[in-house]
Amino acid sequence: MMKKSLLILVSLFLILTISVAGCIDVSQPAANRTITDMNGVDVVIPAEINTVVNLWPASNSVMLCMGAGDKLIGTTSFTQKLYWSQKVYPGIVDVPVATDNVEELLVLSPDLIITPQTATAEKLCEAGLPAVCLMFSDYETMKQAFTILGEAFGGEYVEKAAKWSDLVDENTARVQAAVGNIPEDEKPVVYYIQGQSNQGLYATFSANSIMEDWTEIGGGIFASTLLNLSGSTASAEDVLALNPDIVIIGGPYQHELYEELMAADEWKEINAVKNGQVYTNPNGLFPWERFGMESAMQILFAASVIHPDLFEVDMVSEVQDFYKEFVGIDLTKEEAQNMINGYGPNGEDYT
Amino acid sequence: MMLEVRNLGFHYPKQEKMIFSDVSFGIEKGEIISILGTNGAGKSTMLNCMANLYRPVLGDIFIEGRNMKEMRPKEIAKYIGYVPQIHNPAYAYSVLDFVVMGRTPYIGVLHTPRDEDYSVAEDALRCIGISHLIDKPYTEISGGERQMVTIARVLAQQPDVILLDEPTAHLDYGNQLRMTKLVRKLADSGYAVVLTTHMPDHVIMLQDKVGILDQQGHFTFGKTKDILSDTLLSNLYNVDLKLIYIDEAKRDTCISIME
Amino acid sequence: MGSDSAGNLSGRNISNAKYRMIFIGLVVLAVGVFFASLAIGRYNIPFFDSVLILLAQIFPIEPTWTQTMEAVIFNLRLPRTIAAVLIGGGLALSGAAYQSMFKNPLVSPDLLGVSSGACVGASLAILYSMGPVVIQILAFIGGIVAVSITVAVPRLMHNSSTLMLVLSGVIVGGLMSSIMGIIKYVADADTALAEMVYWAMGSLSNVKMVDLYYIAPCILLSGFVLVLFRYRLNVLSLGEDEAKTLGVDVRKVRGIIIVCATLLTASAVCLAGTIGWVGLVIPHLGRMIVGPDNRKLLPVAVVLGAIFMVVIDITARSLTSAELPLSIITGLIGAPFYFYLLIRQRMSIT
Repeated sequence: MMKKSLLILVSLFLILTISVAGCIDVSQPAANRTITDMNGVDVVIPAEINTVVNLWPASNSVMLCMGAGDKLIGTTSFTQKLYWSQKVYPGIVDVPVATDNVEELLVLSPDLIITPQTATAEKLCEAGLPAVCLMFSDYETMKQAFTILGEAFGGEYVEKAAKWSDLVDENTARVQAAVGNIPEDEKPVVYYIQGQSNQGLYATFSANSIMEDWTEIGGGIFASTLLNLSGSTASAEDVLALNPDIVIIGGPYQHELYEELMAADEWKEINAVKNGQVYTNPNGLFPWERFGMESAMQILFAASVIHPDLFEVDMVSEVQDFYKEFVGIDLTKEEAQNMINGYGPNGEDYT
Repeated sequence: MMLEVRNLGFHYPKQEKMIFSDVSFGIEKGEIISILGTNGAGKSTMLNCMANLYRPVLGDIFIEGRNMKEMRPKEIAKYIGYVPQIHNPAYAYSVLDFVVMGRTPYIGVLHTPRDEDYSVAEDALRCIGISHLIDKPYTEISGGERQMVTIARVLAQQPDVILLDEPTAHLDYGNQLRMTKLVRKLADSGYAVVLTTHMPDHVIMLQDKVGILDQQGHFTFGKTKDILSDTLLSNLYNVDLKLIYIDEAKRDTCISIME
Repeated sequence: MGSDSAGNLSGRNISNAKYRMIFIGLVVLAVGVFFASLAIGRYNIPFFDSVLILLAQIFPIEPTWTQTMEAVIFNLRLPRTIAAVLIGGGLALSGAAYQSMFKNPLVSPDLLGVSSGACVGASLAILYSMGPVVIQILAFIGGIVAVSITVAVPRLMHNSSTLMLVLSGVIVGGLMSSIMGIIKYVADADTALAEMVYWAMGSLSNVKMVDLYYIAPCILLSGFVLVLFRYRLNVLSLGEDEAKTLGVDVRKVRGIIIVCATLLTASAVCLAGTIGWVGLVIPHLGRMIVGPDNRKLLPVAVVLGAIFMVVIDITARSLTSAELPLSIITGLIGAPFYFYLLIRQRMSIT
């Protein structure tokens, strides 16, 4: 008698558990829509995106720049450490750092996951997660990617994405008006040093990249293009042989690398050093020269250092306007200048 | 007493069974001691203790009255030379270079052999009669020749005691007998020689003293003439064996009685 | 040159006079290659100018060349070339020493895990975004730590035979690989991971003179000590037991050799990342030329290793505009040569 009631009890318990489990459904709730990511993959996402796990530092900065920081439930450690991130969205420090661990993400169950890697997107989609790959390499594809993002968030974000695309076009036109007619052989050679970490003076970026874009828009010739560089490390002697006219150093380690460059004997006679045309690049919510939204302003900045005599701009007010428009906050002149100089909002180190 | 073994006992680490225990004997210069026993009895192990390759668990070994435990390997090597059963070469040193390595105990840690060392090596080769091999890579000579070369190396050490581990084990019949003659010659030259073997005939040929090591770890020691007997050999090898005197050879020989 | 009945490919032992000639010839070649390295590179410096630039260090000569050219030679090429000499010689020396000590011509300096440990150290530094100096220091420490573990295991097992040491090395190597796996997994795929992989493939492009001030003494001293022990290495190559009966304090000598070889290899790795094959193949080549006697082999191995490494570095930095990692080139040359050696060995075992 006891055995039979125990059996019934256990069966009831099992049925209950299974049906409850059945209710915790990983599949999307009703009223979904589809967006297409940068690889052309259709991904089903909820009508409203309220929770986002963003695995790409650049993309995190875009979300913060659009004022969508509060949607983040998973971010990257790089994003968190930046003082600019903390200024724009103080809550960023409480957002946990996310990984591409499928099971963890299933538990978090975000409305959208953003990653720069195709392989990760595929893996996560296979597990039924709404993952999109938003990788891009130049301004055209960047516009596409930001449009997709705006579409995903809907509402005001669609407009912001459109406004941003327009801004890129406007800035490009402004610059081209001033420098667009320079003959090829008079264009200065611009060498870019990437300072995401200190890997020395010969860590740069490949040709066919955003860096090539803003250099060319700004009326310069990108060094990696001349060297046919498809990787991101250049040969020291090749670079010196080019005798670059302008050097732009970006990233959190730009100041260290600047000191290193100025102290190096082999650079003393290079045009850029001789003529005082070695520059550090502005660092905002993301290093401007890379894949964040401030790359729209990079077009102006780059032109202003490549051809200072032909293109002048009040970078401080450009920054203030940009931040007012997209991020929705007011920056003082000092804060804006600090950003342009590659520092945090109060003049401290960038990270 | 050149070399004296007192109450020697040994078992492998982590094992309890004593391979042998309470072994005591001594040897003087010019004497030969054969250690006779079956496979696995522990003859080589005992020899390795005497060569300072294993540490005895019980007992002591004395070289000219000094306890081996208190001597450094370099000192011991000036008294005791060891000829292993087989040597597997990895690199093709010339015979001369191989033999001169016997001089290592006399060469400073950071030094290399001098001309005197080379002379001693050449003398050793001459003594054994294999000077013609002097420049050959020692990997290109026969096993028997390599055995002789190793003995030359030991002679270059200028020891007082020579230990040989089953010196005839890998030799053909003729070479076995030649080796036995060489051992006799070494003893006659004044070395104290201890060898392990499982050939009773060789023990008889070499005479002097013998130590019998059986499977139980018991060691019987004494003059070969006194110790070796039909019963002892038959018990040792578990086969019917008889010692028969052969007139032409002027000595006993060990013969098996088989149907 | 012969293969012997033991199936081992070893050189004939050569006379002292012939050896002297060969050694001097190699040294001359090394000097030539050294200066060639200073004169060759993607930044075009006319040969005549490079000669003048070097001579100007001693004689007063009016500069007919640009300051950049001079800086390229002394700031970019010179440190790399010196590093290549030290690393090539050091790795070859360690390899030869281990091959004698472990009585096995098929072992490399990484037998006890120093390169794997250094890799872990450097990768940790990269993971925490440390600068190049910390990367070097942690690489060095990592190598030392790995070998310390390898050497401690036999002691714990109360078995100090060579075999136990080798097994311990295999275990520690495996352990380091697993740790590397974890580090790589946790690393940011876009930045840190790429940096780690690139570092592990070996490059001399970041070597500066100031690095050499610290590391060169370490390499020179340990190398010198190792060469001092050349005769004991011969005796050790007969086997532990026989060496013991010849009066060698095997544990002590082995300890010193391991310390020196580890310092040599750890220094090389911290300067340039992991570079394979040099320590394995160059001693073989040396043996084919002058025989296995370490009194002759060790100096020759050092010079051969230096020449080899400098040539590899010239190739790495001059062939294409993107610098080729050193391990790739040493592998492309080393692996086929090694294969050839193994075939020769196989054929002689009939």
